[in-house]
Amino acid sequence: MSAVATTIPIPEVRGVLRLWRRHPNVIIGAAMLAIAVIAAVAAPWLGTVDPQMIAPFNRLETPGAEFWFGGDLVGRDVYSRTVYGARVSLAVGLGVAIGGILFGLIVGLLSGFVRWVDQVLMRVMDGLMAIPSILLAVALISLTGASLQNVIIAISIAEVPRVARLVRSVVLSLKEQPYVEAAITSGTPFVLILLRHVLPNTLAPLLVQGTYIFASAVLTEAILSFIGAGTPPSTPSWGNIIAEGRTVFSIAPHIVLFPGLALSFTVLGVNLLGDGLRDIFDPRYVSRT
Amino acid sequence: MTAVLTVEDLAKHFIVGGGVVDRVFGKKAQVVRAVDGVSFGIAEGETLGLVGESGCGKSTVGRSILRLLDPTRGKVELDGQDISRTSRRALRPLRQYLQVVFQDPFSSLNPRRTVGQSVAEPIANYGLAKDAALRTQLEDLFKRVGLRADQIDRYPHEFSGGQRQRIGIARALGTRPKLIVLDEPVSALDVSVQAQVINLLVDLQQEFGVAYLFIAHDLAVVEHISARVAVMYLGKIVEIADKKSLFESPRHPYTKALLSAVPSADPDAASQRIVLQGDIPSPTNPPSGCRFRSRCPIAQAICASEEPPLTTQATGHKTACHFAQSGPLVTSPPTAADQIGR
Repeated sequence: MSAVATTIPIPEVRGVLRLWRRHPNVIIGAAMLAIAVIAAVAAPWLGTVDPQMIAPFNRLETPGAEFWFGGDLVGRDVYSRTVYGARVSLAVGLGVAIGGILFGLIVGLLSGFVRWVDQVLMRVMDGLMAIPSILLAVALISLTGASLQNVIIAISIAEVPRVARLVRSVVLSLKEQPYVEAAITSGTPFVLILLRHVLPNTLAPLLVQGTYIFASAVLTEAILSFIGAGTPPSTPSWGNIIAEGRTVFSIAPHIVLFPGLALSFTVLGVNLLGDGLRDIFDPRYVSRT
Repeated sequence: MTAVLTVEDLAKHFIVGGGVVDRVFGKKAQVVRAVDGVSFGIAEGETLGLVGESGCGKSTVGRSILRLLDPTRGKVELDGQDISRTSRRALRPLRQYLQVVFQDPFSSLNPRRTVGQSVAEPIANYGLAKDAALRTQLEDLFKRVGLRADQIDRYPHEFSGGQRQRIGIARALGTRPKLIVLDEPVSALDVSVQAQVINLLVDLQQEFGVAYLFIAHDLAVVEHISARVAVMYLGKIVEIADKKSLFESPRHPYTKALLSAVPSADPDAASQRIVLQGDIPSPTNPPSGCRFRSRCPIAQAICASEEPPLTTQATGHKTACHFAQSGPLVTSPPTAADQIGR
């Protein structure tokens, strides 16, 4: 059995095909996220014009061959604004996922290993969790002023407790694992136990959690922009495009529709990816071939 | 023979509850006396079997010796050095001589590391071998525990339970320890594999001169490997003796009951099974006096008021019972002669 596994390499194509059969969610989700990323990165080359260019003649223009998604209140091209808006959403999603996981990891590891720190940190985290994340973000932004950076920091702070709790629970269960205890009695220094035996085993659940954080951060950013507490109006984001289109929704629904669709598409893609990854990492789904 | 390990009055109490919520509702913290004053010694190259029902505290004894738990009181001397209060940092160099093999062969190896990496970890920690020398030592260790050198770079999931336990034993032997705590090392294995692993442990002991603290609940397994056997009940040692003396002439009623439960291979042997009534009492609230009295068939009034000390009955045979006697368990009230005899 083992001889076969080590001598015959599995071709890449077959690997993807197998993944498609077993976990189609991963492929679909990854493809949807890839489309959003490509749109964000390649925005200038996707037939867009300056998203801030005001053209009064095109006010509330309906979608057509020239203006794919139509024009907004002041005649800006909704298609260009939606494509450029992906940059803000994805930057916020990625930034929050990285920031939240990094700080959550530190807090979680500390409270998982150091008892008195646990008491203090977890009460603080409970307090943070008790405040709705959007309210917390609005409060933080009103203190610091709206900018992309501040939005990322504000949403990250709201996400830290969830990550910290996840990491803490994984650490607490790993600490009881005989192989970690064997490492202790083998004289392995604490830092090495952390790096060798604990961290690698927290990565899988963290990656899954990261996708959920990403999705919820994209949504939170849109909500913040919608209520005017997010990205400044000078930068198009899906939230503020929808907010501006809201007033004329009954006569020009396309202004709200297209950024709304983009938002749903991205969040759905990331969530599908996360669900698929969770299935892959879940030991109950592990197939022994 | 000098003692490699001396345990004196070792106790480990756990505090359960007593959190903020419990305090609000007026619930007091409870003390679980998992181990409550245990003393024994292990000589160089000797095997002491430690047996008892689940929940009697035998694993807690092992974990306290290994300092995976900090003992509440008592002394643990490894090679004459007290390690029960040593700081974790000062303990590290001493751990080289004190290793462990756990019960569950599946969770005792990190699934993300090759078995070679796992076995090499303690050796590398103490700088005992490096690079090529380390590899040679790994190959040697693998061969000695009955595995092939070409299996070093495989992952744990490619091995069976028995093979993994051999890997765990190889890891414990790497630093040339003086004592290995074997915490039910064969309980999770098939009977046929159990015998192989036990025989391997016996061979390795002769080869390396290592002492074992063999924790188990299976008397048959203990009988094969141990030189001396200690029987634990509810956090205390009730009887400790040379193997022969304990198995042939047990004196404590609990030991007698345990031995009567071991199936005999001889169909004609008169089986006089002593079935203990009730469950093992809670260690949060052990019975007064003798802890075994609530289930003891020969308990008397004195058993409730006075705790029997662990006294020497014969050479190398200690029993903690007011009415300790060899021979079959007599449930009739003990005579005055029995009491004088103790």
